[in-house]
Amino acid sequence: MSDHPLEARLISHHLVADLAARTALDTPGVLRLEPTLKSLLTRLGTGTIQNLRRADTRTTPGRHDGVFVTVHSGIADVQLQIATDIGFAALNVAQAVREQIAVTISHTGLTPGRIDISVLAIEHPTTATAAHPPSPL
Amino acid sequence: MAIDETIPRLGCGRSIDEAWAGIKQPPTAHENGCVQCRTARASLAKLAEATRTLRYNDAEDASLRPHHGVKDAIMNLARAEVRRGNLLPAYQADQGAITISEQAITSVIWSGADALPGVRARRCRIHPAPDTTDGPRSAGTANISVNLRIAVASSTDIPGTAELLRQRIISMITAHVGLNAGAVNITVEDLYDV
Amino acid sequence: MARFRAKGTAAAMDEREPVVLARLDDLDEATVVARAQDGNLDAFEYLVEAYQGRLFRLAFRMLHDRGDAEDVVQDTLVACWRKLPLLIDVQAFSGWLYRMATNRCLDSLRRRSSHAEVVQEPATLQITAEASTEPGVVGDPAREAEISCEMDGLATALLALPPEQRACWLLREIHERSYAEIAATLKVSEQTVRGRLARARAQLTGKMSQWQ
Repeated sequence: MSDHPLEARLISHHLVADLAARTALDTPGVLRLEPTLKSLLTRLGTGTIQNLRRADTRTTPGRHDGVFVTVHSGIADVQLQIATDIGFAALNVAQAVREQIAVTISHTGLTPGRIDISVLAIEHPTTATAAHPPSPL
Repeated sequence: MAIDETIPRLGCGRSIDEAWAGIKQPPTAHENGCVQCRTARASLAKLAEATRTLRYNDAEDASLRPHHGVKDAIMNLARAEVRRGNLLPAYQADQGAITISEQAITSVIWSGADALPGVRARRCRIHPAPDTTDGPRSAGTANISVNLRIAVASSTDIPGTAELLRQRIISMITAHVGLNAGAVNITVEDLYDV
Repeated sequence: MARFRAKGTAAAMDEREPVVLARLDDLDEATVVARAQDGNLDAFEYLVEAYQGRLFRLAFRMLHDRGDAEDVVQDTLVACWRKLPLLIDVQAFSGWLYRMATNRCLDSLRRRSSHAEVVQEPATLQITAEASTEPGVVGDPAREAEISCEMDGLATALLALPPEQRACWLLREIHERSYAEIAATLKVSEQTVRGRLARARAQLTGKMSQWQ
């Protein structure tokens, strides 16, 4: 049992996910969280390809895409997927994110558990937005 | 398939193919004298001109492009089914692990190769180095091995360029990924003209 | 020179080394294809942009329906993304893409074939013809009008060809694909491709002369 049963009940895994996402995005070298296949498909819906085309499917990832949190017995486990800036060493960025998230979690009164980070992309900040479309051939 | 392969003939016995092949040359003695050949030449020349016009106009015609929603739908699907390659173990501790996708490391390698004149980096495979396959060291960073295929400009000094590229990849992986590239195997699969 | 620079790079290894990313325009297509095979979305998007117009024009001339042609383009390029890692020869990319698109067009026509095929007066083709100028004939309105009319007649005559002949003719004459590639696309011999092309030309010239 946690030393802080009251806080543990008050702090939802949604809040921890929100804090972890903000902490990651505030860490130098993090470009964005990377949505997973599952969250993207959920957002796109299960429609056919044709429906995809006719609907406006220009979507932006939700703030919690790319972060999964479980809270049990006052311990918060976090899995986070990020894209890093090529100007930084990705591993150092991921380490800094882990350490910062652990600090953030302990500020809530929960105990940081396992914090797993996956670096899914390493990109130039300038090209991370949209590719310049080539002239049509 | 015999009927399918039959080439239509004019009344004088010449095939449409022979008449077509000759429309850019001056008429032969037979073609000058044969009414059927002269008619065929004239109508085939007209077809050739209409074909050229159709080819040119269709290519230029802004209305003969798919609606932009088509590309959006294709790219959304590709993003939803994006292929990141394997997740490579980069750091392991009781408090959690760090993994880096094969694709993330590959893009760093491509960036490094792109800066070298005469080199075009193509497919890339990355594996955990043999000494880290059964769990990476808990302290320090994991080793990886890189297999990269490249095309080089035909005038390139291949051994010199490959060595330069190898050094560059090792330093890029240290600086931008934070891992050690133990082995970098480069295969030249193609030459291109500058 | 190369060796000297190799040593220099190793010695001056620097975390702030500038990172240059090539514009995809500066790469050859085989390299862009290889990068798309490894999952790079920018490379794939570049290929989509480069080919969607060509595939649409093929499908539109095969099917004479914008929506059906767009479906073919989309199905082809989605299949392209999914099957790209399996493509062994990057040089064969465009032929592979044309093959997938052509076969989707023929499938679409087969599904339609239970209905009678109606050759409509193609509105878009007329707009095309009116807006067109052929280099070399600018300045001669009468000749221009004549050529527009011929092109229009050709576009309509095409729709009367049997689908496989139409595919042969479009792939060869409009898209300039090789006989060998067309034969592989349609799973017939090169001789059959030549036969179909000759019959397509004979039929097209016949139809066009009726239009005058």
